[in-house]
Amino acid sequence: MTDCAALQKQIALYVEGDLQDADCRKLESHLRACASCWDVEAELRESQALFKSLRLGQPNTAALEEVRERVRIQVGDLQPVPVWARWAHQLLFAGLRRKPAIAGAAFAALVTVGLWYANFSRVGTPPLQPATEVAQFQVSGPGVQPSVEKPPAVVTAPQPRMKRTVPKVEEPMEIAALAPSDEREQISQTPMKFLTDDPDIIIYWLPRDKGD
Amino acid sequence: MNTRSEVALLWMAESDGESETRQIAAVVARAAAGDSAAFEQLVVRHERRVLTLSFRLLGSMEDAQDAAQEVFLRTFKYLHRFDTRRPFEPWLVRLTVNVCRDLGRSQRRRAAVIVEHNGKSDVAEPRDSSSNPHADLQSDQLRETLYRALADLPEKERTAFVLRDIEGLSTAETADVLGSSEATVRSQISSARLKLRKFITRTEAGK
Repeated sequence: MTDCAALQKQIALYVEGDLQDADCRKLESHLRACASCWDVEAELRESQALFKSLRLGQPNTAALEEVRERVRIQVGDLQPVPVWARWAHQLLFAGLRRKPAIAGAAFAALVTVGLWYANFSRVGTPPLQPATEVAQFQVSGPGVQPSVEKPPAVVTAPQPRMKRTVPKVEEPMEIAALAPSDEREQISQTPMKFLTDDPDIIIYWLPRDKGD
Repeated sequence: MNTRSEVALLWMAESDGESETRQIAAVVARAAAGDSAAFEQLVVRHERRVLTLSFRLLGSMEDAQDAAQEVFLRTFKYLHRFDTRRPFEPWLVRLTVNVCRDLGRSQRRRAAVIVEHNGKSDVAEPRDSSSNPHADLQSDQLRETLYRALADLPEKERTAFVLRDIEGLSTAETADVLGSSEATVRSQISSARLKLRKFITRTEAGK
């Protein structure tokens, strides 16, 4: 069943020939069958005829003369547009429509700024810093007198893996105990790195709990 | 018939001919170069169209005169921006619509209709010799009612309706003037026609 309320907009277009042919045929067959839509069409034709009668109205001569006089006085006070402004406009827009020309120029400017910024930020960015710090210790010999150093700022990646058999450090607690008390607190909470004489051998110690 | 060039061709075809279009272009070019006589020629040629359209959009002759004055002042200021290869009238109509939109927004005097000093209408209508005072009065009242109905429409619908149904532009030309699509214009005019039909039906029922 056709929804008559939804068809009203189509009828409003149909009465002035604004509806496309295919829709026209459908609507005409509906109008023949539906009395209420037929009435709507008749009312629309009537109201359109009334409003079109406004075309007959024209401003009277006195009103036109008044406008002309006002324009003459106001334009007389204005300076004509200088020649350079006219030439500049013709040169800038070169026959293009104003809005597309301005939009195009704005787009080009945005792209240029974007490219410049991308290039600038790539040159100026410092290298990435790792997320965790690792305490680093120098082990001068296998199991002998490890010197405790301050945790350095330069860090290696977390979750290290030992690929080789490393010299076993006995009693890691004793090593940690060599550090001053405030550093010990820090050491117990961060992973520790032990460097040996062999540069290929590095020992990592990851304490599970405080005081482990 | 969607492209701007086709619409421009349509406008040109509706004028009296290509030679006239060329003649207007020459006058526009001279006026843009600062020739005041050429500018006055433009005003005289288009003042009726501008004032009528302004009146239909604003519903008040006083406002329409202000609008027409502003249209010609802007024409004088911005004529050097006009591309003389294009028809002049659509440009002027677009300018008029923009000025009326600005004026309508700032003044909000849409309710004021065509009642003139001395009880006479602002709009002179062609009348035959057999017309009588009662018929004139009825005609004035009817016109006042119609303008009141137009004033009640939303601004965009009113503008589209006036251009399409009263000024008699095609849907493509209306879309070109308003800077919108034909589908939008169709939607606006169908909505406006339905509202106006409802207004007329109500008014007749109230009599």
